Amino acid sequence: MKKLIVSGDSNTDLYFRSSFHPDWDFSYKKWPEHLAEHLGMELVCLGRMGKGNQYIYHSLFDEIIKTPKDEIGLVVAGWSQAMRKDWQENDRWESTQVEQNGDLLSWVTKTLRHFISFQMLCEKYNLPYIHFQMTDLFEVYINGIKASDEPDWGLPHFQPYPGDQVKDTQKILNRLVEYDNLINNFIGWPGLRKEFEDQGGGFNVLEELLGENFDVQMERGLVVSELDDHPNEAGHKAIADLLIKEL
Amino acid sequence: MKKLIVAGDSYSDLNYRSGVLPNLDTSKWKKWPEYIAEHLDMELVCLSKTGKGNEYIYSALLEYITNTPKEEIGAVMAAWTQCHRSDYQEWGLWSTTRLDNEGDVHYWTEKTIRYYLSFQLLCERYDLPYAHFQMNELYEGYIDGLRPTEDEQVFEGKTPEADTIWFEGNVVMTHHGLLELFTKYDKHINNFIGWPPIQEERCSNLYDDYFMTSKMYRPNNFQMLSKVVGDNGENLSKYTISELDQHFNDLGNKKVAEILIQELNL
Repeated sequence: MKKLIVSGDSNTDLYFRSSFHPDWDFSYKKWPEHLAEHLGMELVCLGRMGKGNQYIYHSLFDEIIKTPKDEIGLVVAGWSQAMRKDWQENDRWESTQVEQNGDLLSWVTKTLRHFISFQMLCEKYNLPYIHFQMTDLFEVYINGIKASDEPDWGLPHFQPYPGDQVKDTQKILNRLVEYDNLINNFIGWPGLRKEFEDQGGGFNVLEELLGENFDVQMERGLVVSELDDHPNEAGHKAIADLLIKEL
Repeated sequence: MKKLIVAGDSYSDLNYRSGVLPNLDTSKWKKWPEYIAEHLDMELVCLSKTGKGNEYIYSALLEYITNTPKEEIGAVMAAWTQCHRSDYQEWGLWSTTRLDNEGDVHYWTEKTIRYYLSFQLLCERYDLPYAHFQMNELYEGYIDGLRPTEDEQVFEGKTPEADTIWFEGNVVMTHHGLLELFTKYDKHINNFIGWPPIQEERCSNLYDDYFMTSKMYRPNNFQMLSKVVGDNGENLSKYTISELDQHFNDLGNKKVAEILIQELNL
């Protein structure tokens, strides 16, 4: 049986737990499990809550490097927010919600480099692969980060965007155009929110499936609760169905 | 004429200027990438920048290569630097902190080795001839205690006695962990001159204990700076600018080019 190797953030973590609902049971199947079942593959899921794109790239890199290539059936990356920072200490991956050095354009560019490096890694070994933007690439940061109620994550107050929203958005859109001809097998490229639809914004998977705002999310019923907008059981099934359709 | 694309830190920077000897005209001698380009009869594209780290080196090469028609590229060379530097961009400009605030030396070293491999993948993906090597120390300087830079000593009055950042971990355990990293990645490394880039004497007898008995033993492994100036710095005055600035002088740059030409059979 070939392996399906998947990485991502909390939306791809088989052991997802909600800090809003610590007593709820989240042991339902997640999208990687549905996909592996559909493809008849053994799942290697590297998705971890809170992690950013550096973790996602490096976890896939390490797994692919150490696995005999004829054992790999498909590789999938569900990319996260560009402003997160990941590092390792005592062999454990750590993350912060917002990188301290650099600016938003540079974090988006770094994520684009991860996209390209991921593609080269898979193409070098002739591995079938897909990737997609699971959640906001940069929009959540440029619109100001909402106060976080979660312990050990973010700040308890609203953080306004420190730069020029309009100009910086345009710079980011221009940067995405620069990378356009280098991107392959990216579902919904360039993975932006619906507000950028007119500028060839593609889609991010969560917004596309779960809804673009609170009201739509409640109406569709694919999120955990009104407090926690991670995908619920039906939401995970919907993500898997979308990927199966795209594949 | 095809392009030779090179990236590295100050030791590979065509516009290197000495901070401690500001009146020294460093432009009067050729740098090693220029000698190699001349030898290969290629047009030089040198992306090297003083003070930069390995993230910059990989990113600069990635961006240049992906945006250049591949038939125009004749060869690519990466001259890697210290693992503990942290690069980032702000307002489109690259900046670097000398010591990454996050992570530990094991992570920084593994991150650098991942850059080695990502660089290989990049070149192999496009069938580009390439080579890479460790220009200066990879992690040894950090474990030995990170001394203030030459600039910090001259201009800020810092002293090695008072301002060295001492390594707080277990030196022997850390060396063992790092040496295991080289074993882990050994079979994936290609076209790396001097692999594994470890200064043997800085690992005391660990190197012998660990590598002499294993298949990892390489009699010709080196870091370029040590290879040029000697393990104990016996050729320091011959190949570097001065005691205050230990970057390559004219002869040092020529020596680096000679070593590369010989090692690569160019």
